[in-house]
Amino acid sequence: MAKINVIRNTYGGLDYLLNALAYISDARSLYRGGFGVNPYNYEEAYNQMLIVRKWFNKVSGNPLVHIVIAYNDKVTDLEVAAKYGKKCAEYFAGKYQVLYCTHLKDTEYGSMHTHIVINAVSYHNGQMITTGYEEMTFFCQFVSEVTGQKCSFEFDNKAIKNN
Amino acid sequence: MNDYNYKYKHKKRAHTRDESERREKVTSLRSSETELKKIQKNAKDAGMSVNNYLNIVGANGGKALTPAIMVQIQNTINYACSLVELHEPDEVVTMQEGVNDLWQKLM
Repeated sequence: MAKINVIRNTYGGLDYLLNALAYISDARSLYRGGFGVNPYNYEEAYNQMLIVRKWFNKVSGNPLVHIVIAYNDKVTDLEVAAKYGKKCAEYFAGKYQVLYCTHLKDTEYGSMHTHIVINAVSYHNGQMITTGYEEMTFFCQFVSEVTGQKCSFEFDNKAIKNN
Repeated sequence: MNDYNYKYKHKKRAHTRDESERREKVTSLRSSETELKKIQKNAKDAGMSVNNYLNIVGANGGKALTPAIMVQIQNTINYACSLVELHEPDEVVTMQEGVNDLWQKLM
């Protein structure tokens, strides 16, 4: 079964966006791609996301949605995991900028997994992304179709407001 | 309704947007019926409300590029880079730098 972890931190700010892009692009990132951003340089990807946010005057607010898709143990080939990762990231690419990276198994995720970081502001019309139960259920069905694995998801809300 | 519920119902929702981005100024617009219809159609085509559309187009007026066009260019370059990166990795950097220069024109 593929597991989807939806990590949200509404109050994270732009530092969180930069850190998330840096985190997923580090040395563990064996296959990297992007839609609407430069996938070879995370700092440029960050600036490109920031330009879109400035265009729509939505620099503050929810900076990103971070989705991790952990495949089951049957996926042992990096090429296959990367192909799944690209297709899953493409789901959001029609409206949002996306950077995605596929990692090998590590201590946090015991199997091959793909990190997808999505700019929360749409480059199309400036709308903020919504990742509620309904939206993620549809995405979960899409991941099931792509991977051929049953799929479940959970939310990891890290939102803590610091006044 | 008890006191607790009353307070809860009217509790101001916490928001994460910066005060500087809050749209609190109000103005009016004078236009002909034809112009207004055109504006409404353009806003609908852009997937925005008339208010949002006029704000975005007005604030970014005079720029030939838009984020949607830039994303399309970026995706085309990314595809081209994926084809050339194995044989000419230096060219990937050059191509991405070129697109990044275009991105700066949106600022």
